[in-house]
Amino acid sequence: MTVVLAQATAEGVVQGGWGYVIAAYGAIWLALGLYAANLHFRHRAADAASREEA
Amino acid sequence: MNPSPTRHTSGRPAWEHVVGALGLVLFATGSYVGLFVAPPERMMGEVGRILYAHVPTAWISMLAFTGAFVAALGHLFSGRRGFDHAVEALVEVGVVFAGLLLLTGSIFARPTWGVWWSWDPRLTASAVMMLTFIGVLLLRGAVIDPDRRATWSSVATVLAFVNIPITWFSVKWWRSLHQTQSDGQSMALTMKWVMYFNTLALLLVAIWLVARRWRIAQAQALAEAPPPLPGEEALG
Repeated sequence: MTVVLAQATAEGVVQGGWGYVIAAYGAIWLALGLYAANLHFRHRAADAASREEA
Repeated sequence: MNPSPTRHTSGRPAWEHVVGALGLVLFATGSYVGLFVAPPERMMGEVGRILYAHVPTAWISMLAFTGAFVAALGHLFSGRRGFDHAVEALVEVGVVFAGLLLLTGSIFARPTWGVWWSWDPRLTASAVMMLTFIGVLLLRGAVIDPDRRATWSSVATVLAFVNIPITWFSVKWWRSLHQTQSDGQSMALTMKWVMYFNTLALLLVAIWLVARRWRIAQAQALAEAPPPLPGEEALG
């Protein structure tokens, strides 16, 4: 709570914080990109395994 | 000659890529609008822009887990393997979005609450939600027999779903640092529409990811299917 007060102005508005905003959006884009790539490679491996079985 | 079932998992571009591409374009647009066009929040200033991405991840994760719950019931009542693939796909994608929910929530909490994490009812229920569904995935990895794996993970999914309404209503049932759901009147129209737009965008991305994951489950099921008995091939 004290940190919140330290970051707020007299009007009670949180100042700055663009680093947090960029980090949040960046984390979403990065995670979705990595997961999509992960699915792509897993799909290729699973597809190859099912072809061998067939 | 019937095409091999595996042929559907490769070859011509699948419909889900179109949905995924549309979702990514929309989310890129929504990210730009959320970052640079939408107004800063009255009390939280620029940090309030995290809401435009944080809230959609919460809705999408809960929607995915609810879909997994429905698919789990479908499997338990019908025994159809397609429902089990859907459970597998929806739970995994739901866990990814729940992880993003907790990560963006933690990033949001630091400048607004002064802490990265608090054992607040909403945060705790959200963490339990993600961990229980990670448990479903671990259970799936631990059971070798496909039939038992499908049944046990369906039961586990139904049990894990109990926490979803608790998570949703936690801000109303207990005193929470986390704000309650906005009623639509408390938000400016621009802010509301950016949030809805990003939700639609991430929903399309989630549909793409679930479809991709579903195809992996389908291919893995084909690979682990027992070989046909002598004479079965001739019978076709």
